[in-house]
Amino acid sequence: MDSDSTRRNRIIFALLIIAGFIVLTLALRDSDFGPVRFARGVVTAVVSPVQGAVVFVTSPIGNTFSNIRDFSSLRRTNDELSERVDQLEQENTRLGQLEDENERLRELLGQKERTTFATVPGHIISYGGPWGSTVVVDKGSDDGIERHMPVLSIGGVAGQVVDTASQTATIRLISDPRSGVGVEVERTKERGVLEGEVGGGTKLRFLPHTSGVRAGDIIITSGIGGVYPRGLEVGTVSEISQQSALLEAGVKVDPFVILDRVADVLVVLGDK
Amino acid sequence: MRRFGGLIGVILLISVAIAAESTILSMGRGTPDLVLAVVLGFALTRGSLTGAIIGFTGGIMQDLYVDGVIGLAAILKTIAGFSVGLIGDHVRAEKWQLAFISSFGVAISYQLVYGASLFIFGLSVSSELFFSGMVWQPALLTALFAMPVFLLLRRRSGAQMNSVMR
Repeated sequence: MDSDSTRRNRIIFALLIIAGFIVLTLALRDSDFGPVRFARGVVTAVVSPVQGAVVFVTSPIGNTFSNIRDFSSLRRTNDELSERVDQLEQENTRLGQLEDENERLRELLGQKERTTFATVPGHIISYGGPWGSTVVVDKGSDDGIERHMPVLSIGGVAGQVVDTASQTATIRLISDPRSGVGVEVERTKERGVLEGEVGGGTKLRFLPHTSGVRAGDIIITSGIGGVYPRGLEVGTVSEISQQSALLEAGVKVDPFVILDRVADVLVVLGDK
Repeated sequence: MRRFGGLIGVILLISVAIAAESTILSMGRGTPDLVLAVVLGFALTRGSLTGAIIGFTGGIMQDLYVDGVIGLAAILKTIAGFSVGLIGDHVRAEKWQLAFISSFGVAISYQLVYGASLFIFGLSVSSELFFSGMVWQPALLTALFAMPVFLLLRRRSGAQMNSVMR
């Protein structure tokens, strides 16, 4: 390779890197920046039909491999689910009592009964994001889905809608490092923010190291932040590291939703 | 006209890579980066310039489609394509073993730098990331998937060379 073409290659390489940094800067300042949004629409228009074709052709094969892969974990999942059923039966009894009490209080306050949400069910058609922390569902703006709508799955909160097309919607899971969910510890009412981690975990931030949080505590949404309604179940505290040198406790949370296996979701459109 | 057709072909190939990666090959922690595999395959056979251009195109498409930090994958894949292309400039159309080792090295570096970049942007990065299989497993799969692309393009280059010689 002669020196002229080497020089030309290096100049083009440098220009591409500069272009990348310009795009990065613009997108970090405002991810809804017009040209970025337009480019996203173009890429979605190009890739979506290809994705549809890939899914159509490969889904029977993929399902077979998926079943084989999942077989080994079925026994463990079964044990976990049995244990969860026991817990839920106890929880159900407790909730029945609470519901009676709640009903009486509602009557006292004369409030309108608001116990359910209007939702749209969606099936996940792709898993994405650099660490598998975003998913795409087969419902979009045509079904009434909008950005920042909360998304639930079996067990509790799964994430929120971050982008929509007419037939699809992109959901950022709570395990995404860019996700932040306003939550509280159900037992102590202490509030914090649940953040995702690169690597798939979730941790509870901004609890002081003197906090009374314990392993096994249930975490629910606090309603702060405007995306998630208050009281939705999120997960349980799995690990606490109390380091007196730090101002906040290190609290790991296991989400109730099995995020890396979630297949169906409910997008919350609002109150019924 | 031929160049335009080639560009469309590459964009289609990258689209298939993104679609396949996010559907049939999604295996949690072990998911290969198929776009990077395509970039590496092209860079090894077509050189550093092609590697950088396809790296930029593939990275920006991936960022936009899968809700990444827009621009980050584009920059890192441009660097990956250019770097491995420099190796490709010297070992073009030669040993696949060297191509595999280069691809694996670049893929593992890519994973580590991507994780470190997210940390720099203020996102939480689990320390387990650097000590578990979450780095080398996807990198190994990416390098494996880069090999069919490399071998196909090498074969095609060889066929074109033979037709010119005749």
